[in-house]
Amino acid sequence: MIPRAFCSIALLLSGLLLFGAGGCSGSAREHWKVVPRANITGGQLVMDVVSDPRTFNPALASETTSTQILGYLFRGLTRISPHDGSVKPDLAKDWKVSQGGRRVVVHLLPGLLWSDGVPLDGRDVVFSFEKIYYNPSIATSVRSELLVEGKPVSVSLRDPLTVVFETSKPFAPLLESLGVEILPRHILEPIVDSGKFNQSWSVRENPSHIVGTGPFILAKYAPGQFVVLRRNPLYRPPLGISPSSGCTMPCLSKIVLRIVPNDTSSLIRFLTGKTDLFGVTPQQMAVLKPEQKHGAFRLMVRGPSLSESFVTFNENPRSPIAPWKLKWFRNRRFREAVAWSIDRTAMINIVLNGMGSPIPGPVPIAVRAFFNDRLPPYGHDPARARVLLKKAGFSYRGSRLYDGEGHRVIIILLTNTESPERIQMAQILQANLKDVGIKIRIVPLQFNMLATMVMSSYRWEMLLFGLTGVLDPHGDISVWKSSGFLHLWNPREAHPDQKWEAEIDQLFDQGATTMDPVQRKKIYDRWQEIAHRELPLIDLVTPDQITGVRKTLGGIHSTPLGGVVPHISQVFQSGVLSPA
Amino acid sequence: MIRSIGARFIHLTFVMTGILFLSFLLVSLAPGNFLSQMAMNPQVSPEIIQQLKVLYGLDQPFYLQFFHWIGALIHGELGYSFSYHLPVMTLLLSRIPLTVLLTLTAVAMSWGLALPLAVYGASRQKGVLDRILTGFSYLSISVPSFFLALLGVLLAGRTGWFPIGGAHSPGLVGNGGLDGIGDLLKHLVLPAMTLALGSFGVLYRLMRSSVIEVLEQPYFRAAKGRGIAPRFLRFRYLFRNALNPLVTLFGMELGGLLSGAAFVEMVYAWPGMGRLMLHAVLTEDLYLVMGGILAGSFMLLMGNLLADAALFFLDPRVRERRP
Repeated sequence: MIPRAFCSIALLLSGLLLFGAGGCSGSAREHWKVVPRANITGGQLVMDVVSDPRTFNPALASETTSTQILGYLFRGLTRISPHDGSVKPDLAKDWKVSQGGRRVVVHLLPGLLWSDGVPLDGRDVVFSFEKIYYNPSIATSVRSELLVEGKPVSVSLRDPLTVVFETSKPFAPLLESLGVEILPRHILEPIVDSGKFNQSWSVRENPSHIVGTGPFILAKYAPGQFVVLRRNPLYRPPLGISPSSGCTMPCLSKIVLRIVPNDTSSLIRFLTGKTDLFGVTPQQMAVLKPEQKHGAFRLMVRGPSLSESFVTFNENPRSPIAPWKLKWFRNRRFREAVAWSIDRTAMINIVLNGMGSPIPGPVPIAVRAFFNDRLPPYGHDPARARVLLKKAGFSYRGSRLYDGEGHRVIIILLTNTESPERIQMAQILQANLKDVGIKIRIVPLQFNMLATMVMSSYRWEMLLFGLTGVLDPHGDISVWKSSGFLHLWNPREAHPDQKWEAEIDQLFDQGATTMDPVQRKKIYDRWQEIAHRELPLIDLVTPDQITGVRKTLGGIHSTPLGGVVPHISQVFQSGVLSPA
Repeated sequence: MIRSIGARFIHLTFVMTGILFLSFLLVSLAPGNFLSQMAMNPQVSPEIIQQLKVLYGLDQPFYLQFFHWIGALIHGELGYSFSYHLPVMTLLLSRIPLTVLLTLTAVAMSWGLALPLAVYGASRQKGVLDRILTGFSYLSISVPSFFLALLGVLLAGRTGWFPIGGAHSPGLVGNGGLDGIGDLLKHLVLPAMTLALGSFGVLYRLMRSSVIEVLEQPYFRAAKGRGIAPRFLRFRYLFRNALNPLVTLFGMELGGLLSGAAFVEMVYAWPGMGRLMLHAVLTEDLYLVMGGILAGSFMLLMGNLLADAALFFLDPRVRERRP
């Protein structure tokens, strides 16, 4: 035992902290074997989460730990297939779309029960929408997703198991929006009526008071330490989800989520067999890869993630930046030259440890339903970039680039300090643009300060950033519509400033109201073509999605959109770890 | 004495009000607010952000927010956390006991080790043990506590001697029996040792130099020359006189009871105040940040007050200086 500890400490003191964790001599390695369990029903899944849940109230939750936990406790009428992003029934049995997409009649699964044994019916659905999500005195950000052109959807009860949703205009993403959690009327109605909903189901709530329909129920929460969920015996799986290997769903009896805010501590916990699933960053691959055999885990690489990174220029005529700079940024050829100057392969190799892909356009490759695969990628071609810059009216004095009015091309690039990867990408970008004569000064800023400069004062020139990836392009309407508040390069335009922006506005309006999936794909294909040509956002690279999975786990499949757990109720423990 | 302490209390009230006002001003002056992150989410509309701003009172000028908060404070309330949807007092009370347990254990370990060893080292200057301890104290000062903590986590992972993360095992929370206490101690050992090792160096160096200084004082030499018994000499003359600078340090340690372990808490996933406050600052959870500042400043001021009171009793020179 002692030599193991000394081995680790010696390696760490040599500055090889991460590599040392996996690179000690053979005697220092953890050797595990998997001993099969007699009964695959039961068993527990252990995972680490980075922070405490902030609330157990689905209407108030907005950060990832809370939403992850609540995803095990609550369900919506619909769910998104992790395989292809299509909408599938969850609490719903089926639905019928009529009146050209303005009416959706949803039939609920019969015999559904809340985890306290009370039957669930359409009144719970109407209550959730009308008294919670559309209630202006409730602090919920979910409301944004449920408004069609700023107006609530009309929700009415036809019979106990049938709910009718009606909109003034057809709204294609409505079915996806119906995935919001349905909440128990019998518990929450008195709380809403007393005006105390915003304080309800906090993290101090007695776990037995939190009643849901998900496969698990809250058993215990110790602040800063762990959340324990136990099997919901009254759970009824959605249609199309069948049990794995004959177990009764949910197969697991318990999920333990240990709160570990430090990445390295989490990595060590996974390496030493304390956790079953681990989200791996490309940088951690070097440590984990050699340990797979001994650690009884496998690494599942699922291709490019949904996360975005891009650079954009300030094209806003109302911004206080120098007028000649505004001229550069509004010049399409200038932006195209920048796109050709970027060495994305270097970014992948240096920043992502070789585990990533260039982002081809505004729709992630994983979102097959909308991804336009006919657009050629921008490669690294500085010679082509120089030709484009000359055509755009720029000239060279030595290796430095000047515009037609004699201004040296010097640009300030902002990015946020919270992401070391973005700072590294900015440094590579700086070197790439130096090759074509453009001088970049990098200014990393704390997120809130950056957001204020970009969204309120417009005092910025170039930005390296990323936004939350979405499955339906309509989710990006605030970025791409010229009136959008996140139309970063020129926000909240009164009228589209450029022709192509007007066309994108039109396409997004059509995309929202077109119910035919084939037609919608064509609409969003055209949008991607314009975005690819005009380059208001110049896409960079995205890391691969990698998960470390303990070999004892069953019900695990790699999916492009839902991680390695297509449905938590199907996951089971087929064995236990034992020292080899 | 009572008049002096009363005057100090009035002074402390003004200092505390100043700290709170400046902190509130600085937090409010920081760009953005709790909703800034949400505002950069394409799926949350500006209208919803505006509604939330009104609900949280963030649409009001900072001085109004401050006076509302002070008004609530007078009634014993610390405000409401935006991210946890809970009263700040409830949140702080759920985290303070474990942080205090961790830091007090660390203080007991570091003081319990450093003081006797420093006396020993100073009385045998340049001896082998003194050289080893001096070298170790330099190492302790120069190695950052988070790095020591990472070493500790690796040690725990490799050997399996200690659990990694948290203060309890899932089945043993709230277990007041021997199992529960044993489990808590097992979780406590490494974080407390890491903190103790981190402050050992400073304490050892300070106490050692203080003891050496006393050893060279004429009154100590005279006492020694008069043949006073070594034990009496050590405690009555040496230890008591060498303690003066450490009393001030002890006051500061008290001040750091709530805030001094943040890095170590992060690495060991110890469920204390440090992590709560770090998240609060990063997310600009205004009243939670203010609650943490209030608790931390209160402890610091009380620590200083206690240290001054202790010096008053220990050192006749301080007593004579009183107005």
